[in-house]
Amino acid sequence: MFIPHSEEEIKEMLSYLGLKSLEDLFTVIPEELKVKSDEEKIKVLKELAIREELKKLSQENKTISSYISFLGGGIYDHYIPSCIDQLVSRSEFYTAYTPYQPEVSQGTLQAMFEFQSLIGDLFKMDVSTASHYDGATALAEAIYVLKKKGYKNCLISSSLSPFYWEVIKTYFLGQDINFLKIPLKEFITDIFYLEKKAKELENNFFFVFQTPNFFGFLEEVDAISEIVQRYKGKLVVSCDPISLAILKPPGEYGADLATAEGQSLGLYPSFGGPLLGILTSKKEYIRDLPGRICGKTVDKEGKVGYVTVLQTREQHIRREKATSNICTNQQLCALRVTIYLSLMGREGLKKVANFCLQKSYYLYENLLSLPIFEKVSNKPFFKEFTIKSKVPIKELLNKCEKEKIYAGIDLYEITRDESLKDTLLICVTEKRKKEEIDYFVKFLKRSF
Amino acid sequence: MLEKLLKEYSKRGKFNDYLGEIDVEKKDIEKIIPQNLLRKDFEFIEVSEIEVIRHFIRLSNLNYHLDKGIYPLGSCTMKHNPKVNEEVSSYEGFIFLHPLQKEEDIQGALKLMYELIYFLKEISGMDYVSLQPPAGASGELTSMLVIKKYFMDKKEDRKIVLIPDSAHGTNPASVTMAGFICQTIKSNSEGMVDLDDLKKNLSEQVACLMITNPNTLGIFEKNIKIIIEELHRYGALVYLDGANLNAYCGIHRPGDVGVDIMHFNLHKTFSTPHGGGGPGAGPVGAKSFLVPYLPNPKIEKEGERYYFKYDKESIGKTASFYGNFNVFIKAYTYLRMNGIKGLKKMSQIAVLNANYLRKRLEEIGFSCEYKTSTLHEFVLTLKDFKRKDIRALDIAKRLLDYDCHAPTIYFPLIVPEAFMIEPTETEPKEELDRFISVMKKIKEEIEENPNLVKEAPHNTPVKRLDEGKAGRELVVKWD
Repeated sequence: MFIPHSEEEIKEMLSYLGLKSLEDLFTVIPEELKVKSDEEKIKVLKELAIREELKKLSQENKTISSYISFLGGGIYDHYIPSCIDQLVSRSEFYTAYTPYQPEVSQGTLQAMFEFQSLIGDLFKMDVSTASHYDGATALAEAIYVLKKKGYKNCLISSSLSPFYWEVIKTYFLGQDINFLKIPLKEFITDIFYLEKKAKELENNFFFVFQTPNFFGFLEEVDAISEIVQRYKGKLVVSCDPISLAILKPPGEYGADLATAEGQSLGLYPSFGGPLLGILTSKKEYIRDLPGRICGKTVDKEGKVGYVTVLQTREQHIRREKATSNICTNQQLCALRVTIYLSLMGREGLKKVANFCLQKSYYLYENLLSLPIFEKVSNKPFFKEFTIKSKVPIKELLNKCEKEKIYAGIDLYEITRDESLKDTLLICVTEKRKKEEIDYFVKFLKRSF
Repeated sequence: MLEKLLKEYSKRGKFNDYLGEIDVEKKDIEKIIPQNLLRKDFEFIEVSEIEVIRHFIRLSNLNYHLDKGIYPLGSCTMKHNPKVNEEVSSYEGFIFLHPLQKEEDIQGALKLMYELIYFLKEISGMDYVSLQPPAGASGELTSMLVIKKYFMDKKEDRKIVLIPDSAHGTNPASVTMAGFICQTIKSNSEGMVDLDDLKKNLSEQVACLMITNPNTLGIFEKNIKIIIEELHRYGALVYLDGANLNAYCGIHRPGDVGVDIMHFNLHKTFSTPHGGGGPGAGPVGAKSFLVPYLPNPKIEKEGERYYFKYDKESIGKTASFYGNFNVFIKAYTYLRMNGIKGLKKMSQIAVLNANYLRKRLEEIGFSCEYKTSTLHEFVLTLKDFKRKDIRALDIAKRLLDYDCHAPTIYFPLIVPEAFMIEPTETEPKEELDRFISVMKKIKEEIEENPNLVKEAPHNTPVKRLDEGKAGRELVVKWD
């Protein structure tokens, strides 16, 4: 399908090449290396039928839009303004290739420059790359930047997403780098333990943490930063970009590299992909960063335009000496984010962040008024929190599901960490209505 | 300037209120979060919705794109992106799925992935496919890590990866990232892997060979079987870069010849859009002895139920969750509409288009560095025009003036002034003929008025851009 030639044209082209059949085009492949069987292994459907087939398949899923969902854990159900789908479905954007010919790619390139600028403003960081695959790989790449600069000891907070930790372990399989997990106290990094290790490894370590952390709680960024600076280490953070409209941004507490998952900013949950990796740094790291970066210039008549810069860091020029192997990234996702940030703007972003904060606290306090829950920490959180249940989590989740409520994430189930038995990770975004939250709380009250 | 920066539309007080009033009792933020964790000032743009829309529409008008005309970028396979893919992948039952819902609730998604894996297995002859890597380069890295873990478990210390000199830049970069060392293998006069040089570099130190077939010259490695046997004789493995799979679907299967592990580019071969540079998807297929090492989780089926399976030997994960799921839906739809037979026709016409274009261009005086027959793409050398001080870059820029996207230039590195052309099967003959007449015209211009070409492009939104200045000044965000 999708072949634009008439049979007549195919014959004409073959005869021009002096060939009798299409098979004759493949004489360069030795006969014994060719597929012998002509059996059709796929049940073929054309456009009329495929839409129905895919519709049916999609309906075999239960969606977070048909449930009252409190699922988070890295993928969030934030509001997406209608404009975004409309604008990114322009084929001028989605059917273009990577902007290798800048003169005919100014749309993509300027959007890239604007993405970098908006992310820079939100994070208060000097430089942002054009995009990475997801929050996990952006963080792994940030670690790779420091490893290549000679830092061999990577301290990692145990409050980092277990999904990110899995990816980091994979990226550095069998490599010359030491990972040391820093334990938690009240579900945030144990500052005293961090200080002890930082002192031992003075001058040759970096600390990697996430805030709000995987459990929803806010890390004590000033204290962390002070320790890392005192013992001359480097600081790498993974943060929730939505939170930065109200929380202290990484540029203000001296992060060397700051990363994030950008899905919150206008991307659908989409079963966890495609996502958007955000990677920012202080200016001094610009030549060490992986992937595309867009820069401003002029054309030969002095007109402002945009091109990708420092390509000599990249694989297509530098090959085995490149800063990374990344080529295709997530440009269309970065475009969605650029549009999202433009539409929300200063007040809109503050409002989203505040709604998340207020609504999550509203649910948290209501849950704590029930006898079945208790606190795990007194630390503040942002839009997600961890809470301990006195009834078995499985039973609680199952009962809620029958009521069309996704109550949260069973932390033991995904981490297999004994200390997290019977804890639940609950997320409340701006999309959850008061009546839904009340319904959830009342249902729990009735059931347990 | 063609279009103002977003920031220039910004004015304090512009606000698109998408959320309305909050419905829960509001607390003082300062009472919830300690002062030292709060943001002091938040300077950010404020632009109205209509201005945002117009801004992005104006930007879109500055892009060349596939729906406008030929996009013959070699090795990138810029084929038609069917619109039905966009529609079905936006169904609510797909986009509002959370990756941590339980298996019972996501059976449709798992079924789609399971079947896509089956299709890719059938096309490649591999035993299992992991869909997780989010791009081709990620698929390469995943493959290198699988090989690394396999040898670590066997307690064999192999550090070297062999790479032909015609390979994509991502290959050596992936090798370094995985902690291996690259060793380059020369090409022979036919543009294929030089068997003698390969043998000279083989040892028990070699972990694998990364090979692209057909290679980046568009030439099928006719000795592929011997090459693989040589590697296997030393206990080393063979990885296939699947970037050029569009050349032989339904005709040849890498798994049948002994390839141990390979990656696919769903955004090349299986019609999913490039999005101006992603998202793509780079699934990895492997033979059974390597399957446990592939990323977790795998997707299995028992009776009519689909479930996740975790192997303890696995390298772990190469993406946060299961990969670029939305891209899988598009590739799945494309495969269901084509079937293996449709794919075979796809490859046949891709090769027909490329051969037609090559012969026509050769007839009007362009030439290939290597005379060997090619499949879905070919590489011209434009070194002859240097006598007129014209380089491949100049000709690429002049093509833009005639509403043709330029081919890939200066790659592969073994061809001087390389011009790498891949028309794909979805370019109509009329469009190929138009491209040929434009190339002919440019050739005449080079003889009659070389400056016209030297200074191209002339009709694009901006003229040739000063990349040197951009690199020196490094203005990578607004003030």
